[in-house]
Amino acid sequence: MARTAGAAETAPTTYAWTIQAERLRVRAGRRMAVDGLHLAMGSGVHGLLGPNGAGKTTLVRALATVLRPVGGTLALLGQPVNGRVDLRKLRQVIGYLPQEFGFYPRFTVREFVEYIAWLKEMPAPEVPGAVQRAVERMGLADRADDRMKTLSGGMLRRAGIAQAIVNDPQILLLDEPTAGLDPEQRLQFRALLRELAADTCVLVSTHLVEDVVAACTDVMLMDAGRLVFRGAPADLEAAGSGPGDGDSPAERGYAAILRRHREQAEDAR
Amino acid sequence: MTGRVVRIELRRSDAPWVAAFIAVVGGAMIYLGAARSPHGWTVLAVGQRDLLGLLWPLALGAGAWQARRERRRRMEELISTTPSPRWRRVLPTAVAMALAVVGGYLGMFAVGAGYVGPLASYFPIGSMWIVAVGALSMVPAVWLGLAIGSRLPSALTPPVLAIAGVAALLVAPEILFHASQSGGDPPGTTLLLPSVAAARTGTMTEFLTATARTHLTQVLWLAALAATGLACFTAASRRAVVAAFLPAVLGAALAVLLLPGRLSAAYVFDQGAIAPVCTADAPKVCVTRTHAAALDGLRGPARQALAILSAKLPTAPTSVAEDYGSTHLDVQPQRAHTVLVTVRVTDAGRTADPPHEILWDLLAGAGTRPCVDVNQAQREQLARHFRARLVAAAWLIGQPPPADPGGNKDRPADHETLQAWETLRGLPATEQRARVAALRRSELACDGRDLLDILVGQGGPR
Repeated sequence: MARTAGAAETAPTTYAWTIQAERLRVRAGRRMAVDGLHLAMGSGVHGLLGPNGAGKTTLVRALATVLRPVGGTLALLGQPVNGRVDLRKLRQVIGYLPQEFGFYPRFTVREFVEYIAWLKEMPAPEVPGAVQRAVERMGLADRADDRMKTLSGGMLRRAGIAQAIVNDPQILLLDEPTAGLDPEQRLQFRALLRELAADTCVLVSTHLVEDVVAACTDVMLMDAGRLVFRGAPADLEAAGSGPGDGDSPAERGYAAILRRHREQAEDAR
Repeated sequence: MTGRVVRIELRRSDAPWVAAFIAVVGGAMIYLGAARSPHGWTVLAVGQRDLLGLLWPLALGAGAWQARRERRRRMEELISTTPSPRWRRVLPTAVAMALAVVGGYLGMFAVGAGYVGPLASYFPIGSMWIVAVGALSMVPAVWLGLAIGSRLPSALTPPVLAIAGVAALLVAPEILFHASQSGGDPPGTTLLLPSVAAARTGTMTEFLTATARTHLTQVLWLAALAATGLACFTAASRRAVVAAFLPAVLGAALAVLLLPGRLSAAYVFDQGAIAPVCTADAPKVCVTRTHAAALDGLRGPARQALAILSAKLPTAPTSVAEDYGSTHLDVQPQRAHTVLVTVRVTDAGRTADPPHEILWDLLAGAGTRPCVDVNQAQREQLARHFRARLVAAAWLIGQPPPADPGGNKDRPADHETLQAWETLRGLPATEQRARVAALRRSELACDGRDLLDILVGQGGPR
């Protein structure tokens, strides 16, 4: 079933970037986990890499409107996100898979995705079709009427992605989406990402360098609250030419960029 | 779509478990109560209202538990990114929980109805109002639970709330009852408590029903309380939470103005329940419609009693009727031509006592109701009063007085009673007759004289 597009969606865009951040500062508890970050993203699949504690999840949570920035500017779909803005319209076009994906175990997969579609204020007539499409896309059609608590870890992750894409979001934020997926499922997931890339701004935060190289149009590397690298997957691989840590060119590139960045930071001090 | 979400919540939230728990556990309690004393629809409905002292805290706790679901299931993060305003998101939960507790309450009533229904000969429509108001009262309970649980989302909130609810609802009535000075009749504001119907006063019988004004006032108050619970649960800001208290305050103020001054004034005789069902032939013997099946058992001893009275006393009554009033609280002169008697019935509504025991009841006090205020009279005064009444019956029947006219008829009465009987029998026959007649006159007139003195005292009858 084809989705009917609202007037807002077909109107010409008046903004340059789907997600734009300047000198963005976001707190995670007491720590300034995102500290002076510049970012501009349009349609496509953007991979967000970085070591633990780099601020990836904090950045994703800020983009998902969970956290309010404490400094700098953040604009989503051209609309500034600050204390005074009504986020309702914006949230209708965001899809989000949190790192720690909570769910109601007694709901069936279909009921859960339906529930999220309802929370995203989708027009009622569109919901059943959209739910079926999202569930099918994640390969859960045969488990759609099983309860969430009966699903395996990988299936739960897919159900989590299904709820994130049910409203055909313009901004799709996936925090560790491939955790728990088996190799075949990861291949299917990469194909889905490529499919979405055409008209959606997808941000995938992950530890898995090879997922980023295989599926992303664009790679970002974060360390200590800032962006330290931005480029195409090929650029990441090129950065690691020559011997070094890692089993693949991309992993070597990842390690090399981090090492170089940290050395520069040391020197600067 | 919202309707669809309500259906999902009805199946997948705690709602079905709460409904089943109330229906099964509450049903068991009401079954045990109904099986012990199946006194018709109104008593069943009022008895269930009294169980609200336990059901209300249960609904409060269940609401608080359900309110913690988003936190318990770590859904807060995902939900905080959805555009839906809080009231829209939580409304289906509130509706599902309300339907669950109302359903549980009605299921519980159905258990009692299954027992009372086949036995009751009279169905008072007013009893359904008592059930409906009771079911409605469960809604503010669960919504207040949701509100408190969402404002204080600790794991301790549900159990603490439930325990505090039990303590408050069982203790508050006690305080109100003890604070009341008018002979065990608490103030009308007691009706603001969901648990207190009338059974607590000890005067609730199958012959009473609540007034329409009582129902309407309670509905008003409970609806206001429900509005506060829902508004507080759906509130998204601190200011909205404060504003949510407005309906409850207004409702309480209005209810206090509308409620009767005393709890007993909230209940009146159910004219349908007390309508007389009489024998076609004279002398007339009547029971209430509620106890229509007891007429056969009462007819024999009633006519025997009338025959004895007319043979032995100068002015004898001519009919017998069932006493449906709580005469011990109602100290007023009685009519001379009718003997009133309290009829104890079996589960099936037939007379519970054998004919000779009913005869003793009918002739106690020479065919009168005891005119003595049991709440005010001294213990010794009461003993003398009932001893004299028993001796009068013994004189009429011509047998020594039994120990306990309502119990074992073979055990002899206490020494004082036997002595009084002997003394009476030792008087000249005309004197005996005059003294029993005087006792009867005194009791009918409710003049407060000492009956034992009339019967066997030095002064003799006047």
